[in-house]
Amino acid sequence: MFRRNCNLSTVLAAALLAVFAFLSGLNPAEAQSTTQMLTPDSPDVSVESKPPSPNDVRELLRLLSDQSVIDWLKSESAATAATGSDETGATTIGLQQEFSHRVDQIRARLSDLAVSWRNLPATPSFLAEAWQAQMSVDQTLRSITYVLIFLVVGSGLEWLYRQYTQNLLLGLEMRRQSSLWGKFQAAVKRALLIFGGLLIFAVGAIGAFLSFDWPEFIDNLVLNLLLIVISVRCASTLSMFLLAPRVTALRLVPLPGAIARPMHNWIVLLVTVATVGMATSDVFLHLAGSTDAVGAALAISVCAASITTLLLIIAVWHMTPIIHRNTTAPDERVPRRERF
Amino acid sequence: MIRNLRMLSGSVLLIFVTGHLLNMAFGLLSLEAVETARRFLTVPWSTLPLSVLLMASMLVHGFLGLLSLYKRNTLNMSAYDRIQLISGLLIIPMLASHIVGIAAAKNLFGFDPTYRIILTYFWLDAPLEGLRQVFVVVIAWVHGCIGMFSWMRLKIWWNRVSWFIYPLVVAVPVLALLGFVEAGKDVIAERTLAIAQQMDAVPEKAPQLSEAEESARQQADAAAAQINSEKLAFSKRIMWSIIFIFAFLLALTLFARAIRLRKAPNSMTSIRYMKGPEITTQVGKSLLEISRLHDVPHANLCRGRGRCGTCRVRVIEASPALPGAGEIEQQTLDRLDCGPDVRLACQVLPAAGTVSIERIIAPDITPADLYNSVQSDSAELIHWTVEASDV
Repeated sequence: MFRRNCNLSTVLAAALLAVFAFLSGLNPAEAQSTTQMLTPDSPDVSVESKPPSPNDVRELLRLLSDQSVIDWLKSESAATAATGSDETGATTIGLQQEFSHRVDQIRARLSDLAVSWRNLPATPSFLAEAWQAQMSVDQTLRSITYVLIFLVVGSGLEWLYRQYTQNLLLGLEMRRQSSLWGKFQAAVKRALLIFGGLLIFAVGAIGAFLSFDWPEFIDNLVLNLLLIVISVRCASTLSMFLLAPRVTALRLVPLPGAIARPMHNWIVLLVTVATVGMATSDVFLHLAGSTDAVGAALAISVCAASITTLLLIIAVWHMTPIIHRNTTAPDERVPRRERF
Repeated sequence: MIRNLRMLSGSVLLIFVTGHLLNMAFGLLSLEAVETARRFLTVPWSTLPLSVLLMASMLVHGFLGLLSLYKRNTLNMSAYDRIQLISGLLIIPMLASHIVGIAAAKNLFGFDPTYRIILTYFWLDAPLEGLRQVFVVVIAWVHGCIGMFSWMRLKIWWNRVSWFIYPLVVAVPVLALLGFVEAGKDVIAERTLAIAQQMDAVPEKAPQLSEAEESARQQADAAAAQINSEKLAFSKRIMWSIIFIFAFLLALTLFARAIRLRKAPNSMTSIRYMKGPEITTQVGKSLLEISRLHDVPHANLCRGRGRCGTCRVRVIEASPALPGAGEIEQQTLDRLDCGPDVRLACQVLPAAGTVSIERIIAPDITPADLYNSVQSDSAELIHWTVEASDV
């Protein structure tokens, strides 16, 4: 059992690194450099060969019949033959160049991070200035009022949908399914019902969003907010579909409730923090625009990624003993939530 | 008595809020329409009998809310209960400035606070107050609707009217908020136009005043400003006093509840569900709370208020014997014509020992099922039609 837990911890640790690596690369600058690293001249990237077009073939034939091209090819061939004996050396030089290139990239990245980190403390004032340049306090508050209203519209429509479907949902949750197929079917139906609610919310909220006149730069902020809400709820629904934290009869993953519940909570929390981090980075870049604040964009991304990674570490730290306890002996302790 | 008082006071408050929201919804037509509707929907509440009724309802409902918080055995509750509790606690502190502002406008500053004035204040002079107002409208409406639904869904007519009431529950606040936005646009446009006209207008030549007259005018202006400032400070003091008193009462309630729970014996009870799990847990919670905390499916249409009787259980064995039924429980059991071995899970707090129970009602019962079964047969015929969960 301990080995199983160790394996789980290893997998989670690998996931930690992957998340950090992924989130650290949210910054477009990083994305750009990553793209540069994966350009077709990189040896790692295999480009699928396609047959040349007839025009290309004709062009090649024309070039090959050109005497000057033939002479140039001959001279190049001779030069290659002269140096061909030292192929190993050439490969080494290529590797050295590649290595040197990568080291340069790392150095540049560290330098960017250092600059960005130095700019970080000044970020709030930069942001405030950028914001005030675009909107007055009154306009800001009015925009928040609009946001609240469009969330109310979306939530209200979803609530309405739930009232009409709750008997169906209750029936699904309360009836025991004996076979795995029956359980799966019930879980799918339940997930569809919940996703239906989410869809209604999205339609209502986006409809209300479109009906207001937003200042241009607020568009990005509000859309990010909407994305956060929808992403978190999607993740929550997916987790509920698999883990069914409160309805044992619909749980597809064979876990006891004592594991499924905190795991679901952690999933929702982590997705929330990660999504908020991504949205913050995006909003920050958008807001900073061409001002000095853009210098801190990388640090914001790294901060968001660090917080998410830290939370993931805490999640692993919190979940490991729970998993260990609940898979070795039945837990007879009073659940923590009962103590209040 | 307490239940009826809660429902009555809550109904008065919900009618008041609904009137306000409907009034605001007229903003979708025009600002003038809002003012016209105000005479019928809002102004009547400023008459003496209705304003006394309103204030009394607010005090009674607030007090009963704190009492219900004190009586809670656990703060780990269903989503609806949680929303109702949090929204209920937020209403008074968030509404205090609005109530005091309206009262001060009438009684201290001597003017009638029309919607035009209020909307101008919310949209132009103090947008933060406008935002707070939107928030408080939403939470008050949600709180009121949850309470009203808990009561109405057990009524014989609920199944027929619920399909029409649900859309209204969403439509009223949404239309009110959209009306608030539209009327807000009107007042912003009016202010913009007024500023533009002021800029274009040729400044009138001020009448020449003697030095003594100028000094007297300045003194009069300063005195008026001083009086206004004192009135404002006074109204702010009242507002903060309301908030502090409420916060103090809330803290006192939580403290008293903590003492009550601390005094409870720290021993364990074991609940054995027929066709279900056996749970060992701390005493001090009702059978229904124990079921919910351990994810055992258990019907409870009124969410543990002792009204519907759907959480009733047949007690197979109890050692020691369960405490006797209280007034609320006995009334419901009598109404349902239950035998002596039947108890309401939401009202029974088992002592340290063991209890074996059988859930009588299927957990997925709906209000319509309740009505049909009760009408077609005697009580207790809504049998456990599904297999108990394997929790």
